[in-house]
Amino acid sequence: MKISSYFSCSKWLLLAASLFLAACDNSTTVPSAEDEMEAVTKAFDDESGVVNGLEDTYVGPDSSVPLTEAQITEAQEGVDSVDAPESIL
Amino acid sequence: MKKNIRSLAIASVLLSSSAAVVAAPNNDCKSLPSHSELQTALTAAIQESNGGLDFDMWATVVNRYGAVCAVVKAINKATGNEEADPWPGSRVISAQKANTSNSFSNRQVSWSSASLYGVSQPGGSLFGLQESNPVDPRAAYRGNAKHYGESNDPLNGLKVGGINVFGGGLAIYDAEGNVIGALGVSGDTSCADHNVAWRTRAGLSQHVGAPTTEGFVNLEKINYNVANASKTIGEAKTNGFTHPLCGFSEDTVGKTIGSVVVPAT
Repeated sequence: MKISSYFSCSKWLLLAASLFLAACDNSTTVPSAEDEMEAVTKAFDDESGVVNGLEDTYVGPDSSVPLTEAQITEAQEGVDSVDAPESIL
Repeated sequence: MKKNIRSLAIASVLLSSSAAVVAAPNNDCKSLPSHSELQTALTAAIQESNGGLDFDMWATVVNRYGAVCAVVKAINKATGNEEADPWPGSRVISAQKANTSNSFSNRQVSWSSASLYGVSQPGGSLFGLQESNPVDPRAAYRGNAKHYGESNDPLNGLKVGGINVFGGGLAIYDAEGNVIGALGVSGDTSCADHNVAWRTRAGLSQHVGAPTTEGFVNLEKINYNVANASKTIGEAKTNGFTHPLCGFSEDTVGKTIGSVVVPAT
């Protein structure tokens, strides 16, 4: 093989490899997916109450006398209303 | 006619006895200690030597549905504190322990949280138990922390959840052998916590005692006999379900108050 043919062949191989790598490169899509995931996480935090929904001024029902069923129900509804997961009722 | 009356009488007896077995408790705390009753019992319990660090402590009582009835904190006179200063993280742990013993005790078996330690370790038949009923963070960390341990603790009335497998949790039984809730204490070594729970529960008039009926499996005492622990469930009734020692004199104290399984010699 002539040396010029060798370089000519290598050139085309390099070009093909570059095109292949470019096709596989997902660097243009990953940041977008991460942004979406962060947005979902932030929305969950904002809406769930775990981070932002509960007020520090809350106090529980008075246990100086044993709690009644109504007091317990009211306390539990207070928590459940924060993100209302019916499944834990 | 006589036959009918006799059948009716038998049916009545069966109905009443089955009602005693399956009757669901109300989701309230009327048969469980108030805040002040629990405070008194815990305070008295930690003035005695429990073999650990002699720290201030937390105690929590839950009802049969897992709802918190009261949370208290108490001063151990050995600390010299004017206000109770137990480890902040132990408040939720005390609630976890109460939830644990309530969750796994019934008319057939009574589990202390300590007795779940061995079988929930890697290779044990209940490995992973700790992950089975997670703490609800909305309940555990709700409200103003200044009220933690007071009669209006923000945990009151809430289902905190959580499973804890070291010493400090004990079920509370009524006179009919029903579990009506459970007690959890925390703030010292886990072995001392078990002793404190043992003493505290004894100070609660609502706890009549675990059933002594035939077939009832009582796993309330802590078992430090790790070296001889059996891996089989059948033998575990007598020498399994172990808990490690904590390094102080908790086992010695436990023997004096009856909270420890004494290994056969």
